[in-house]
Amino acid sequence: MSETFFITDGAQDGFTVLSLTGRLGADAATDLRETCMDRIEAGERTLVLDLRAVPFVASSGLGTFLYVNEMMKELGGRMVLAGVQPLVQEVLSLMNIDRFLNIVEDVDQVRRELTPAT
Amino acid sequence: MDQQTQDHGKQQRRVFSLNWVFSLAVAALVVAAVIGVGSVAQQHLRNSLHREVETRLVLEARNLAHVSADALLDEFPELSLMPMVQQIQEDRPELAFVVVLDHEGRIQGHADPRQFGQVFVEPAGLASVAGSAHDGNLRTSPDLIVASVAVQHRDGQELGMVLVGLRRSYVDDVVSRSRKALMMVSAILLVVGVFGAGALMHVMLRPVSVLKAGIARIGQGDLETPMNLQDRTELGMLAETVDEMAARIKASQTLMLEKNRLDHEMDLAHSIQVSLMPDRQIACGRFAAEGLYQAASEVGGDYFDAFELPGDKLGVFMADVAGKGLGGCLVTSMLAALVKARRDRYDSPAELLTALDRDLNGSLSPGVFVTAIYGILDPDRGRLTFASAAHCPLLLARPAMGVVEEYRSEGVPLGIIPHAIAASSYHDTTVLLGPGDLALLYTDGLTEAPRCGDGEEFGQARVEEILRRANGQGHGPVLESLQAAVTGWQGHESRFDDLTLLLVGCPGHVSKLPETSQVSGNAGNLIGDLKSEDELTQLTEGAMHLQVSARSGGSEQIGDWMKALMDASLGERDLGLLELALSEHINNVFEHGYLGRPGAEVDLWWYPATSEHALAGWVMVRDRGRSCPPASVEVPDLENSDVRKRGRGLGWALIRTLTEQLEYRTLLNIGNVCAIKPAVDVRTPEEEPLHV
Repeated sequence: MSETFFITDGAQDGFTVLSLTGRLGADAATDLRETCMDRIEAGERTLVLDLRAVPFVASSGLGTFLYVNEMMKELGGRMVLAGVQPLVQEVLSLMNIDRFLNIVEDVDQVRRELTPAT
Repeated sequence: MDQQTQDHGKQQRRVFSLNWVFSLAVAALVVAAVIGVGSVAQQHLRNSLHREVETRLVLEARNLAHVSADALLDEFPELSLMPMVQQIQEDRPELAFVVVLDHEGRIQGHADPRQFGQVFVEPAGLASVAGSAHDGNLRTSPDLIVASVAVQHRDGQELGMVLVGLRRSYVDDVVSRSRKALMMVSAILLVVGVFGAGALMHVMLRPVSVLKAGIARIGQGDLETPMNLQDRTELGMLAETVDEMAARIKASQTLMLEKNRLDHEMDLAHSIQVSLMPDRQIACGRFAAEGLYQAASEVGGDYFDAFELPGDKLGVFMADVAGKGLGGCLVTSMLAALVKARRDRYDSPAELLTALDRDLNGSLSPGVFVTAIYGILDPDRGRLTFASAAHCPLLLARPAMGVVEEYRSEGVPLGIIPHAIAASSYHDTTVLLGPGDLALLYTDGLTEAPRCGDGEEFGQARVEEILRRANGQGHGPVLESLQAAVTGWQGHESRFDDLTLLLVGCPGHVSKLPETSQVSGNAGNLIGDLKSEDELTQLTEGAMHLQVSARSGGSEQIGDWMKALMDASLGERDLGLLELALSEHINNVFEHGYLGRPGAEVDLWWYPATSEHALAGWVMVRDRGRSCPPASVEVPDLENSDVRKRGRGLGWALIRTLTEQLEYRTLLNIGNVCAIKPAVDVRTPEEEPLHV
């Protein structure tokens, strides 16, 4: 019985939001990596992972965050984690990998940053 | 320039015909013989004639003296002596004179009656002949030979003397005539001898010209035309010997040409075989494969290859064809082509071997078979899946544990037994390649290399020892170490078999685990002392137990179990972190310890913090898979962007981060036991902390 996990792909103005739902274990991490790579190959250079509905991230998930982040940096883009739950945030901090990642409060923050001030 | 000088020398050198040389030599010998024999014969004749003449002269004189004795006593001796002397002179005209003298030296008998009564005057210059048998009776002068015999009465009284003279010219005439006859015979003999010798030499030496022509033909390279000289002399035997020699040279030339052709083809085959194998390291992610091929003195049947497969995987193949030479090389080439054509179609090494067996079945000559091993490496997961068809064991060096694992083949060789039976013998085996782990594929030219002198084989144990010492070395140095060790083992003897090696792994140095490094403190001692399942049962008595199956989807099951057990003593944060640590460990066990085997199970025991148990506050996990101690895994250096980009290998780092203490031990009869103390205080606030 595999854990329930799914990804909702939503294009926004100038960036893509991938809304994740469920526990991010080994199989889910593989799905996430493939989805991200598809978006990157399609030309997306700002990728937002909405983690509001992700209560659990295993090491494979952490590895996927780092992998996609490095790929985007190489291509001149960026990956952003939004809506990170406290436990996941705690793990990122304990592992000391939050310093390599762009973590924002929510997706709106990304939208605000990308919208030119009027 | 030298050639011109030699040619010039040849032109200048005079050639003497053997026919002429032998003919002249024979003629000279005949002349010498004739002259020598003639001279001796003539001398002998002359001497014999002299002796004969002298004897007859003396006898003549004696006879005359004998018959003259009575006549001298007569009153008129001349009357009887004169006719007698005249008769003698008529009969013997070669006599110069015949006289009978009385005791006063007066002539009483003479052919000329006018001489009667005259005193006989001896011819001048007469001298006795020294050493003659007729000494005293014979005297000679340059012109005469004179025999003188006394005439004696019966009573011994000397009555007179008889003198008979012979002209020397008579003897000389006789000798001269005999010499002429001898010379005539000699001349005839000489002519006959010279011509006969010439004719004989011509006949005898005729084979020489045939020999000369035959040898000249051989010199010009014609080894096929025999001389066929029908001669019974030594020259005939010589011609036969030369014919045989030419035939042998021809046969040797044919053999040499055949050998050169074969050598050329073998060189070509060797080049083709070598070109089938990669001569560089094939990288795939953080893994790499590198091989080495050292041919034996003849073309062998070894083959290896390393290649990229769809899905960023790495394929490694090695085969050993039983049978060397061109036959083995051809099978090797066919095998290489088959592997190349089919490798992308199969995700399972066993399936590829099955396909190869089907291809080769019925195609191989009797006695020829192939052992092979094929592996597919998934670099992302570090999993090497392989299947073997009776090939040498795969050796897997794990420097972190200081061990070399051996994976023996369960399959049968390709192409020799009915396909259905062979196909059922090929099975996939999966091993995990951690940092520093090296898998070695090899052919029996490595382990069966005989030692110079006593023939002892190099053996697998020595290979394993080299692999144990190879920690941290790259593929190249390890291959060189193996090659150098085998070469040194064999000494100066030529290599009896191909040496073929192929290393697959992730280069890097890892620290070997100390024997008891995973056991420390209270919990460490407790789990380290376990000897049997019964002792484990005793240790876990009173603890909360959960059995997690690989099929049941681990982490959620653990989460629910922990919430049910510990929600009263743990905050949500601490509970979540412990659940994550346990999930990571169990995931590692299923993936690396059980290698994804369905039905694998893991036991968990939770010792409530409120209990009196020495392990209160700990979680113990037991599995029966391969040993995967955390210290065998390198802590990823996240400062390195390449490591971050790899995005894997964070599991044990996360477990270490989330646990205060962790003890791991592989125990005989029990399995792998890991005791985890969460990095949270799971006991109730009023209890004293447990010092370990």
